[in-house]
Amino acid sequence: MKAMIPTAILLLIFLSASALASAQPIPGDADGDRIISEAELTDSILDYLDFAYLGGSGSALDLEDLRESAHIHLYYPRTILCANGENVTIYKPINRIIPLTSDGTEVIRSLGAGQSVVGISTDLAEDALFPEFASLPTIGKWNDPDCEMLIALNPDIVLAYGKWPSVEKLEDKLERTEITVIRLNFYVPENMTDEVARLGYILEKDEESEELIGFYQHYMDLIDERLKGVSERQDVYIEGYSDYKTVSSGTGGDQMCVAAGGRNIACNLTGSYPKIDSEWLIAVNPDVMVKSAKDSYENVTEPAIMLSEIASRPGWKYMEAVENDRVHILTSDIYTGPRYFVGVVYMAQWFYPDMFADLDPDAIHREYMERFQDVDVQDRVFVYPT
Amino acid sequence: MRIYITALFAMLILVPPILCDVGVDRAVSEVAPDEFGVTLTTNNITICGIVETLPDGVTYLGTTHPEDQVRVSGDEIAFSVTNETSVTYQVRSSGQPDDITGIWVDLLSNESGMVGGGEIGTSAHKPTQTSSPSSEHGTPGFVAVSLILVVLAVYMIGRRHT
Repeated sequence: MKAMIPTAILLLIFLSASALASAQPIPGDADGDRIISEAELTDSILDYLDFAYLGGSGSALDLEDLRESAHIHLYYPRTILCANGENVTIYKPINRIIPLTSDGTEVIRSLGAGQSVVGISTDLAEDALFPEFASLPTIGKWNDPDCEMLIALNPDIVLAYGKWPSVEKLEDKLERTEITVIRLNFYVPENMTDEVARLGYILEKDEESEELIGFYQHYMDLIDERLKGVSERQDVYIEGYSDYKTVSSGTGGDQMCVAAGGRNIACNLTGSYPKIDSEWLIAVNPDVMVKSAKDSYENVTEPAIMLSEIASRPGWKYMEAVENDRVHILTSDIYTGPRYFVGVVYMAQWFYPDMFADLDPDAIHREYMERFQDVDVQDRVFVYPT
Repeated sequence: MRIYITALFAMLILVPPILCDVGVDRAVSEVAPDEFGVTLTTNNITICGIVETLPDGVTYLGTTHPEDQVRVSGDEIAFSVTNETSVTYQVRSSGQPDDITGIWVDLLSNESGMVGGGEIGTSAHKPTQTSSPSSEHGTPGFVAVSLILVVLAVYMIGRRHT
């Protein structure tokens, strides 16, 4: 029995600490419903004036908390639809964020909320794109976080993909805390604008999200407008990271292909990422091929080898795309994620070189990185041939 | 050409202060013999607190502002103002009550000032205290209790190992 006492005390301390970490009361929320009603705000204002100016001796919020209470009354709660179809409500300003994904982190930085990031996944800590976060505490893998570590960092929200980590690995373990899980993908081009706007809304970064959306939408609209005059679309084969695996309708790669004016030859195949038969592809004989690669390259050696291997696949060297040097490598940095629009501009140029000769995707990429990411674009190979 | 440049400079100098004019003005009008209506008008303020101080010889009669948004203490009247552009109250005075003073605190910005203009100085309207005597949030004593428990646990574990 005696031996159990220290354990019990430690457990009590842990639970108390967890409660302290997760209990972030909203100032002036007298009834604890997380909403500042007009009556609650009025009472808080009068209590403050009474205490500060009328010589009253009752309790009152200090001015900083009162201002926060007024802000919350006016602007909260805020509800958004997440990528998993669930509505999620935020009741007060978000000051502490743990993003699990690089896509989400990139958008957070674009919206100017990087200073609110208090912890990251181990994957992000190793990502050269986010050097400023490398020294932050890590909370495990993006798809399997250590929720005890996560809770200890006391975030307001955790930003995750729509499907990953599973509910069992995340929401279920955060059930007794005030931490809200926000699930937004940022890898489906078709939903990018909505998701950026939703994140901007809950972060009170509406203007920043409008600016970001306006920036890339300008190029998407420009491409769309010019393509209206194209009656015959180019047939395109998009190959994923794995050889012979393509993308069908509704995937990010398909959406990019279509946005750039291509006709995805695999759009009607079964499954999102179907494996194709080489003979089938030779028979279809697409005009252009785009191979997606996992990461950008330090130099052209690797992508050149990859391209040569594609060209030397049995029977492929007589395909039009190979014969006409219209096989391109597009790296994941600008494929389907927040920078998908850069990839779309490259694709539009590959599909219709004359029509989009005036666009400079490299310059667009650089402008985005400098203006929205506040970093110089890395000196790496993002497409090949360049 | 010169006149346009002059006009442009004048606009640059004058327009921003006009656009950013934040504050509370006071207008007093006689509504009956020895009775006056005092109207406080907010400019570019959505949520604020206002405290009016009546001088000797001026008596507060009432207000059209919702009762639960007003608190009166002696010669001082506090108003909570949310999403309204004016507050009106009535006073009794044997003459025009020109020496009413007041302060306002904008609760959506860091602005505050004197009603009618000017910064809050070292007058009687300076806050008597700057922080609350008992914060409404947090768990008082929680940290202390936790610390005591930690010390106790360490002590007990230490004893167990010796």
